[in-house]
Amino acid sequence: MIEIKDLHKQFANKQVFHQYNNQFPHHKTCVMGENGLGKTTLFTLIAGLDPHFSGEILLSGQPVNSLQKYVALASDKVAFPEFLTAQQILSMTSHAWQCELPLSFAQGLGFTPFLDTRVSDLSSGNNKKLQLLNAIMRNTEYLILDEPSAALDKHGIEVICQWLNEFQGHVLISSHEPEPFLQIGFVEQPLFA
Amino acid sequence: MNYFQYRVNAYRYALKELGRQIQQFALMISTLFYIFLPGLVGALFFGLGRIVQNDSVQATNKVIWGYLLLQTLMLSVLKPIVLDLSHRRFHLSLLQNMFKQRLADITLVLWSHVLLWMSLALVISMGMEKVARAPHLIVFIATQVCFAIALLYRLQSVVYALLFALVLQTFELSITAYLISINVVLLLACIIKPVSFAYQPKQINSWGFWLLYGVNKLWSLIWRFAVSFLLIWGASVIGHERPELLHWYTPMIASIALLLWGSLCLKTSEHLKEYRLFWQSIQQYDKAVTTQHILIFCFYLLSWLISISLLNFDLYVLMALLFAPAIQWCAANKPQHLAVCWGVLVVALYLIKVLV
Repeated sequence: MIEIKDLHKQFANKQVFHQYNNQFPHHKTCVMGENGLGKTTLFTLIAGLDPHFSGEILLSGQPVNSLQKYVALASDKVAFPEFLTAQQILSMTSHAWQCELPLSFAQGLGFTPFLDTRVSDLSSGNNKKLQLLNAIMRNTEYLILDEPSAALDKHGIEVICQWLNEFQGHVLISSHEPEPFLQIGFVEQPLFA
Repeated sequence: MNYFQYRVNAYRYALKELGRQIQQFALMISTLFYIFLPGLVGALFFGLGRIVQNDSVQATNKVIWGYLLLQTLMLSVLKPIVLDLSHRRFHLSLLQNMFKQRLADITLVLWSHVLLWMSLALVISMGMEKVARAPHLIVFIATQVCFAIALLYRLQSVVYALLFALVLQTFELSITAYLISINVVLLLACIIKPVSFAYQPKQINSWGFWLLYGVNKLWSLIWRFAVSFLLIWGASVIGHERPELLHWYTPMIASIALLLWGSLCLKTSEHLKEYRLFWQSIQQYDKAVTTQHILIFCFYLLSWLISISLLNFDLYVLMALLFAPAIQWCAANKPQHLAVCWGVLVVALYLIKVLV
């Protein structure tokens, strides 16, 4: 379970969260909300990539020192340096977190031919696949996928749904087309109750 | 509107945009060096004068090389504007063949070639009779034109020719023979197939990342090296004339090189901020920042070592090196204060030099 307590988050001229409290008790949750409400910001905070906030983020009811160790995030917000190849991006993550390259999953997604392609030359669909591979390969207990089906082809959505269906950890996603995910047991939950 | 009118409009528009982008930097430079700006223009004409008439053939060849490097740097900045690079495919949709495009390219590059105009102004002021006594000046002007055109379509040939010209200075060639040789090499190098640097290792760390960054943004390294080297080169040439003033020039050369290399932190830090979440997601952000500063310091150190080996070494030149961490920190963390920080340190350095 992911629990947010008394969260305050403000950008230079915009307050995104003020005394925000929420729980995501289900194993597979699809966070619903209109564009610009703060879903991606919340995901970035839960993934431990933005330390500039006040409040508490609890995993399984416990505060944790390093959220990054337990949570992996796939999001457009985590942009990859454009001149690196997909393989180089994955190898950096592999080296940093001592995890294996997800070659079989890449093959399933039809991404293997693009491993030596530069990020700048990837299509938006392949960029999304790279984001998903980069997060999934870490084998963390908590996984956050921001718009996982955006720009993906039908086959890609099927592969990711099949993988998520078998995944035993906690998954948070956001999606404006949630039907394929609801079919495999995701529960819709609004960002703001 | 016909094609040529379009090219002129595109050129003017892009030039205005460039002016707007470098407005602050130009203001800073002109504020700091406004006393020296007329002197700088004078020095450029003085250099051309040395090409026309000189006691030492080798010194003339050095000046020629400096001018060719300088024009390469200046025109490289203008190349995207001259070629209207972002709309090349649009050009092809308007034209039946490449002739008009090439004609427009060459006309605009020659129009943008300030150093060529200076040479022509010198030729006009000299008159035909005097020019006839210095025929190598005409060959030099032809070389300026050839290098400018080659830069548009065969950048690597210009690099090869400049390297060859540098090596050729070790031989005692007459000015005309020197110029003809580098033109021949330029022509031959145009035929060589361009080499593409496709270095893509499978696994990389933060050092490897910056190496790839350097390979991909090679121009930002090349121009800094070239300008630093050109300044040291110019000071070295002047140092032969007035060696007693060298101890005044050297700290300034070292300080300008420091500003050039320090300003690289502006771009690299911007790049790091753009991909901050990626770096944080692999817990390498701090390491990437540290590696960036170490590498930039090493580049500056290299320029600094060249300057002390060719010019002069004293305590004040060493001070410029010691200022490097402060300038790099300022460029990375307080970019809006970089000019002031650099200016204060340079003024302080010269005040100490005058007072001690």
